[in-house]
Amino acid sequence: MRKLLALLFCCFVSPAFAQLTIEITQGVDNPTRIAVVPMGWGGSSPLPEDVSEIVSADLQRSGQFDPVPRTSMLSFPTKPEDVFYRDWRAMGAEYLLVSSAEQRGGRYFVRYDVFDVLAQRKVISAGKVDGSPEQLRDIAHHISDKVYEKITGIRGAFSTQVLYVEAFQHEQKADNFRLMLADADGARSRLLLESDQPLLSPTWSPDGREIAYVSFETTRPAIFMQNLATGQREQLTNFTGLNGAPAFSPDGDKLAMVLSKDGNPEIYTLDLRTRQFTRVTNHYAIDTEPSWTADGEGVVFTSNRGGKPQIYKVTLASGRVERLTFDGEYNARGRVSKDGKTLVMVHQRQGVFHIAAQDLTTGTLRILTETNLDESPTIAPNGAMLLYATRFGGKGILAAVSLDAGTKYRLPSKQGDVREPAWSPFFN
Amino acid sequence: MNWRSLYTLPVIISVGLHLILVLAVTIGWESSTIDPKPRVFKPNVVQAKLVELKAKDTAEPAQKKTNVIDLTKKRELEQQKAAAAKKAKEEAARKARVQREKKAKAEAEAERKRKLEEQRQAEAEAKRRAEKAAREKAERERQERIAQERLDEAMRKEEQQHQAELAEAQSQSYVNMIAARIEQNWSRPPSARRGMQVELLIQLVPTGQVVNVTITKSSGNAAFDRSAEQAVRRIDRFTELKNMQPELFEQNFRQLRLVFNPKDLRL
Repeated sequence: MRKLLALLFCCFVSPAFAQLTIEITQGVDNPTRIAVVPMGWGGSSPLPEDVSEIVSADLQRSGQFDPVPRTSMLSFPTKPEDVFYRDWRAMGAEYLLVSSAEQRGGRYFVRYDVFDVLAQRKVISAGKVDGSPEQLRDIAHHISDKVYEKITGIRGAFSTQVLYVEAFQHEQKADNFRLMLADADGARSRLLLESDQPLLSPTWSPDGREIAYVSFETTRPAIFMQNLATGQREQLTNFTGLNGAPAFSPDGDKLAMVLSKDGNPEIYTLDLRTRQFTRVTNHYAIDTEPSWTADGEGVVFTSNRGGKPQIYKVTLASGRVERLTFDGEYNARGRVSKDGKTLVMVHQRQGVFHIAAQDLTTGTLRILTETNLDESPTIAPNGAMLLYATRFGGKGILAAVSLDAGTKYRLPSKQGDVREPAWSPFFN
Repeated sequence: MNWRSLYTLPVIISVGLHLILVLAVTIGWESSTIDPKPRVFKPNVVQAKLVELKAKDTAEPAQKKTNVIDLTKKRELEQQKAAAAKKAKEEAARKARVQREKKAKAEAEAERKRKLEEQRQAEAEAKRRAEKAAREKAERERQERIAQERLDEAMRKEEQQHQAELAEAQSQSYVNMIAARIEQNWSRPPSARRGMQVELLIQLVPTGQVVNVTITKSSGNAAFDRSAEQAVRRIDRFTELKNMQPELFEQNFRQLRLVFNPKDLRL
């Protein structure tokens, strides 16, 4: 009897002792709360740039972070040993960035530590970065990149740059067009080229050293390539008709473009070493806006061969053309993300132009932007954000949206109309 | 086959009665109604013969005759005979007496023995009966006890099952609460993708306080793993558990395996 009971007891109890498993299948995905403590600095005069503030702004702009305001901080530790996790936990911080700088021989040396407040341990220990006084912003973006990558699992793109065109159209004097280069946050913009003729379609070489663009300076559109470091320019095309929309191949050896030299706009490639042009498309309809696929084996382009503008893909080796977009009556300016999974485009819905993203494996399309004159999408090299041109307050500006449409922000307003952004690749 | 003998007589009687009735109808009533002329039956002539028994009467006188012939001798003889008879009789009586006495004694002895035996048997019988009764009683009690035990056991089982079900239901509701709390606190990094899965082992104390979190199976994405760990650490204390019965806590909730498997991500 006792045996039986014991057995029964076992039967009853043993499943209970088995590990209880709880499955978590949903989350809320709130921005990560991070406290970026003002950088420790022992110098007699304040730092020329508020590095911590730049980091904080970078992280906030990504949409993935919710920085703790300085005014809420209970203490300003600058060394790991001064950190009391309890204080930071109390204000809801999940991560804590503590840094300090010192100047030696005209250079700034920065040390930074990132703490997981909840687990009470370091996730970045004694990160180091240094630079000249002019590079303090770069130091800040570098730290932002490292923090972003550690916490989100995605490489940060704060140290990248953006090309864009500023247009000043005057009634009395001649129009003015400027090709500009700026940090990804819009700061430190500098002039690359100025012209009273239109400048269009700036684009980056994959290594970030060269750019290509269309200039009307010769009174008809021509494609130029320019070295950023030396400023040296080279005219690549001088055909009659349309010469436009240059796009570097992922290996940097070729440039895809639109030429109408043979009658109507077709896609061509130019081998940058042999200077050989190859015709890629051959259709009586307009084929334009080429952009390389991630593997470099094909080119996506916009064509009205189906009656309305839609995005197609041509495989270079076979010449086979395949239609990619079917949703809506107007899809143009396709750009494939670096991982090859997403196609972003200008999508027209009910007469309104949006930026949309299409999942290339499932074919599902989602609208990313809500404004109505959005154009020229360009994807960040980490694939997390994209920049596009839109209109705000009566003029053209640049805006950014995360690829999951969760975050949107506008870049600082410039003079004139801002258009045709091109997000740089990673520089290293 | 018994029915045949059983029914023979009634059947014969019944048939006879019917025959008589039929005869009465066909003959008696018919004659009386149709043929009123009286019928005369001739009486059967019985021839009897008287038989006389004479043998006894003839044998008796002959015997008497022989007795009368020699009386004296006969008397002597009779006297001798009588003496002898008397002696014999006495002897016989004595013998008989002895015999009787012996017999009586034996009978008494036998009776005694018989009675003894009877008594013994009665006692044995009584004892047997008592034993049997006791045995039966014991058996009955045993049966009852078994039945009772079975009932008890069934009830206990039912109770256990009920308890288990109750515990299961309670566990489930606590599990749901815990899962909901974690889901409200789980903020995935943008690198999180559908199909990623991280397993955590968490240890709790009865207040609901999380005392330990370990990643037992990584997703391969450190940021994703950390987001799961942080969800639990952010909660820090599952206050819902503090009202839990201690047994239930010990059985199921001291250690929990958490599987983070996002199904709501777009990418």
